[in-house]
Amino acid sequence: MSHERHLEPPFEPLHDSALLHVAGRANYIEDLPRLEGELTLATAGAPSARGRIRAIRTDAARRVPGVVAVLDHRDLPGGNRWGPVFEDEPFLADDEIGYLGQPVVVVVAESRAAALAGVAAVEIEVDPEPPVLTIDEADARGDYFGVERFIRKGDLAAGWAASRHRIDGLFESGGQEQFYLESQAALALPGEGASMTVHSSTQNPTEIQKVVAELLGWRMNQVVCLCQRMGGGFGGKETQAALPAAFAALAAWKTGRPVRVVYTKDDDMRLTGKRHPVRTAYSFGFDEQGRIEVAEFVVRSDGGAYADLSTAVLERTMLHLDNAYFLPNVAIAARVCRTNLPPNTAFRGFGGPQGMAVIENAIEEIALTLGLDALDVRRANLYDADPASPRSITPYGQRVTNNRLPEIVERLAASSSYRARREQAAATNSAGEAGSEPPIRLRGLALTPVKFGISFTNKMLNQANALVNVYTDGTVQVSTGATEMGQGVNTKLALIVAQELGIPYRNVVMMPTSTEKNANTSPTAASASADLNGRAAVDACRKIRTRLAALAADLFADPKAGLERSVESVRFENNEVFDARRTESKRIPFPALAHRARIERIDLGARGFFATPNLGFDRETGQGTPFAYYTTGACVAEVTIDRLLGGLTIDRLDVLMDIGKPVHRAIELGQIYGGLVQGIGWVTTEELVYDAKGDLLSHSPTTYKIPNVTDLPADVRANFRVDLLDDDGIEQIFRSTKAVGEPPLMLGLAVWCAVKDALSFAGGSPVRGRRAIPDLKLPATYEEIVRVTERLADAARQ
Amino acid sequence: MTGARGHLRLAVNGVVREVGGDDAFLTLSTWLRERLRLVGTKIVCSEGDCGACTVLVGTPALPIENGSGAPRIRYRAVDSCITFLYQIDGCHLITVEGLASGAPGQTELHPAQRAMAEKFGSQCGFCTPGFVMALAGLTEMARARRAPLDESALRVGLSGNLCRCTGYVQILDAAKALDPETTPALAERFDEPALVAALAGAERESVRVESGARSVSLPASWSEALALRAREPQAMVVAGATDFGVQINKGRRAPDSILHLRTHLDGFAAISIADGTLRLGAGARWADVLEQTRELAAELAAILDRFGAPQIRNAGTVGGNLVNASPIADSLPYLYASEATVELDSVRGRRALPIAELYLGYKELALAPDELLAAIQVPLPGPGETIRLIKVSRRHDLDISTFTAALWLRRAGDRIAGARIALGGVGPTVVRAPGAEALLTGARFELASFRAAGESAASEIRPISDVRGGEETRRLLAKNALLHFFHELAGERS
Repeated sequence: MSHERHLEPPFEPLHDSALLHVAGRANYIEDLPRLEGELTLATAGAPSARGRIRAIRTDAARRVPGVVAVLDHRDLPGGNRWGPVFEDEPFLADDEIGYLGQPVVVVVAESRAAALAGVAAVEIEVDPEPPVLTIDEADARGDYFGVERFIRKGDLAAGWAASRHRIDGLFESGGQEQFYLESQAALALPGEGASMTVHSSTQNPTEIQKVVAELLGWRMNQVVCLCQRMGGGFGGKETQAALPAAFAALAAWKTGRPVRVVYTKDDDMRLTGKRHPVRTAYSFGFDEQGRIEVAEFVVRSDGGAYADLSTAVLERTMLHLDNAYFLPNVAIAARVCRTNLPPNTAFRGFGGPQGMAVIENAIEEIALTLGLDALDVRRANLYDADPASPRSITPYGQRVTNNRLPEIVERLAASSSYRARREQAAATNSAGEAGSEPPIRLRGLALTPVKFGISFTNKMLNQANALVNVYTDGTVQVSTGATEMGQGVNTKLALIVAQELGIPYRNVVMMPTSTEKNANTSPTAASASADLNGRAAVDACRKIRTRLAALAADLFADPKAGLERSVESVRFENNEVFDARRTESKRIPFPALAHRARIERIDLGARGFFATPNLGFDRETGQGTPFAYYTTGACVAEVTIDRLLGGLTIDRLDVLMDIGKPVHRAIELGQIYGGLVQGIGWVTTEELVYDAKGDLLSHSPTTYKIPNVTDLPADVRANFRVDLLDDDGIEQIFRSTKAVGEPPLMLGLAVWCAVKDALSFAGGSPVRGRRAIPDLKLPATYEEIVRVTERLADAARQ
Repeated sequence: MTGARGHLRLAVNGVVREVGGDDAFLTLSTWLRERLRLVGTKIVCSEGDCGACTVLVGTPALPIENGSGAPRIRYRAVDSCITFLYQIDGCHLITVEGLASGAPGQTELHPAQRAMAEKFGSQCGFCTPGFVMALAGLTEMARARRAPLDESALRVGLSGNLCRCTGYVQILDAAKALDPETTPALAERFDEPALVAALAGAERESVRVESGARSVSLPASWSEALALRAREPQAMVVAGATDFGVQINKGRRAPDSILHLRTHLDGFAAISIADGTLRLGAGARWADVLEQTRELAAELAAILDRFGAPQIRNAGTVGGNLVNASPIADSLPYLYASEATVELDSVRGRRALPIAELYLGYKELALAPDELLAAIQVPLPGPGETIRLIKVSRRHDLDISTFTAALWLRRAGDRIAGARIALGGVGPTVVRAPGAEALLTGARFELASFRAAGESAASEIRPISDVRGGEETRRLLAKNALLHFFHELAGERS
């Protein structure tokens, strides 16, 4: 087959499922063959977003033909509270209602139609209360999760004294639906005795194993969770794959039959959590050059009805309010608000984007206040490249080392002709006679940097294990805790193993992620999975190699020829093993050595382990070293807006990122393109609209608009340029590679800032020139653009 | 319908099948996945808004360019989640499983499949089969028309497919790697003569499939359609089903009887231009309207490029868009401003009605129970006349309008001799803005005139707030639309 050539190094192999994807033969949970006696389920949800359940009546539902079981909280064998941080979320609502549609009753049936008919027959009586749907309402009520967290550095009073100027404002960023294409799904198979295998579309099989065990009142060793692949995750399946898996497991245990559940897209969007909306009150003091002397932030995030990962997400928001900028004196106070919406959760960036958006908006406002180009304000505030400089210390006390952002910003500004293009745009925007209206189409440019901390801020999670099994024909199976959601982690891990063992890539197969093979794993999240699991796999490979090298050294030793036994001289390359001292003779094929090893009773399998060293962040003091390193990059975006109708065109994107030495360049570029476009969706068209009852109105792609191919700049290869900074060779967690999963998403802020830049020219007659727009929200939808233009025009007329 | 065929006849991946009973009422995607276990076709949204379920539907057709007259199968990409089995009677359906040729284990991938894999166009893979099918459809069409597939054509062609992982860049790389010239025709992958022999002529047969209380009728002629309409006025008339399919999937409708109008019915899908009037048969698919009016009615074509998505335009019909009666239907402001006339037909005879009189209220039509919409006549702008359209949506493509507007203008020197303004998304039906029209008529062609007209238009409408936009935004858009029209027209003049 013609694609075979791609399977040999030094080529970068195809994505390890690509040939299955394109043929429609990659199976997702919904595609697995139907099983004998298989059932499905649907949930009856709370009819109001807030209130108490008075009665649950299920008799009529039980009588619906095809309905096999109707289950509510009284049927739970174990506890009815779960959660990754605080165990506060019911599997099935039992008293207080968290959000509209919250599962109350599980109807298990022979068919989906029967399950839905059963759901329709369930009666849930409630005492409804008016729901709390916004941060403002929850904040006013003082309804929060956890305590207020603080990060403080320097002397605020001194900072204000040194400031010639100040800005104050309230910045709001909206939520975002993950919009993985494959909705939440699970298939539970009851095993012998009390045991259960759960196939789950999850980023966190260990969590599913634990939650299912808790739900059933079992021990963890009674449950196995498997994940072959996900049809996208983006954080949305880090914790929230748990409910469907729990329902399927409960139904399977109660009926003794396999049970599969796949959410519809509408249900998935209505019932599962999203990126946290965040409202931040900010104040900045700065000098004439826009250099920040002091910054204060009061951050409130919308956690939804249950804690989920909200406190961890908020922590990352706090840790990214500085983005790439040195803040000499700073105070951050932050808290998660409780509202009556589905619990908000992880989404690529995990709170980081919300933090960075605040300061990138402030930089634009500072530039508008001072009449400066925002790039100059950014340059004045970047962390120093010199790690010894006092201007390299973050608000939480970690030093920014190996900081190449100043270089990235200079190079990108030059390679993208930022200055010339921005001047040209400003000239176009200001064309015409004084006092005339600005052109309908306004152009804007912005360059925004990203500095994203790599590591889970929860230190415990920075560990991974891997199982590498070599077979006697020289082929290898690898199992790790990393789950494949499209990001290509399996392809990268297989490449790493092939390189470590010196064998062809095609001889390595990645196995489905299973808690049976890899126990106590961390979620595939925080951009860290290739790093952590890669290092664990390397550890396993090196154990095997050490054993095989000892055997090979025995075989190569030839004292008569003057060759003493030398383990150090054994090399593994090109599917062969040889002695570096005499490369011309006696090469043992790797399969032959593996075969011989079994005969010699040498273990051909190994488990590897890795834990990131030197991490420690004290959330009580807000100080420490939460990150192993930072991934950095920057983006220049140029946009054109139609100020009258709100249209937005992205004319050009230039990206420069430092991801060290890529493991697989094409796959990692795919992360950059995909992450950035997802970020663009967050800042432009993706808007969650709820009604007064707390029902999500934008619950499907008809009304919730993720980017389309036509939203890319025209002539895409010319106008969407991504360059990688040359590798600095500095060893990070895995070789000199840097994590790439999440950071590119935040490059999308360049588009938002460019829209803001364009809008600042929309003031019109009689006074021309740029105006501050402190109230521009994120996302900058067509509606925001039209609204802000009108306000600026009104102000100009007065 | 005595003598009607009681089952559907169609083919899937080269295999002819007969389908009757309940299955005839299933969506293609459900039927493929659950009955044939062809699970490569993915379902995400069930509403034609993501393209993950894209398949190719082939219809035996006489090729115009080919003098031999031998029927060939022409393929179009559609969303299988909102296409019902009864809509593809006589068609050959190709799914992602059927695209590759050769025996299992020795398959030769279609170039679209190979390119998607080699250019890293797939990440999670869930949208991939849909993209592959859309690409295969695009290359097939480009090869047949000998039209190049440049990037802008590819972007429009892929705008009906959503991907959340890749950011589309590597998908476009894959698309650009395809060469329609060297891509083998789909005809070469299947035994086309055998398929044509089995399927051709199906449209000339009346079909009626019944299952319990449900029935679907496929008349073989227009007169039969009118007779059926008179006999079963309660039957839901279905053409492209691009909105009806969504309503079925989301449980908003469940009609027992269906009258499905196939496009071949005498003149039902005809598109013609005579004496400055464009006549669109109600059964004309929007893709065909777009293709045939690109030059004659460039303004209409520009909006049609953003109408739904390629898959939707390949299925949706002119009549469906009109009779569905949505106040945000993309075609309506153009038709209102053009003062188009609809032709309504029944066994009692044919009558004409100004478009504005077709709509009585929200989704309420002046259509008698026995009537069918047959065609619409659209006067094209004459000398000195011009028409301009606006569509505002949250996203440029594959999005339903928040607000639409049309302006028809007759100019006489510096003055405006006549003006018609139609606005959509601002009330229960598309509306004219007579106050604004009066202000413009006789006024000078200058910004002040349009500003006044815009302010009037904003005060004449009764918009509501919904998921797509707020009431105030819609008023603002009405005002701004007139300014936008002025700047566009003034820009052209200078």
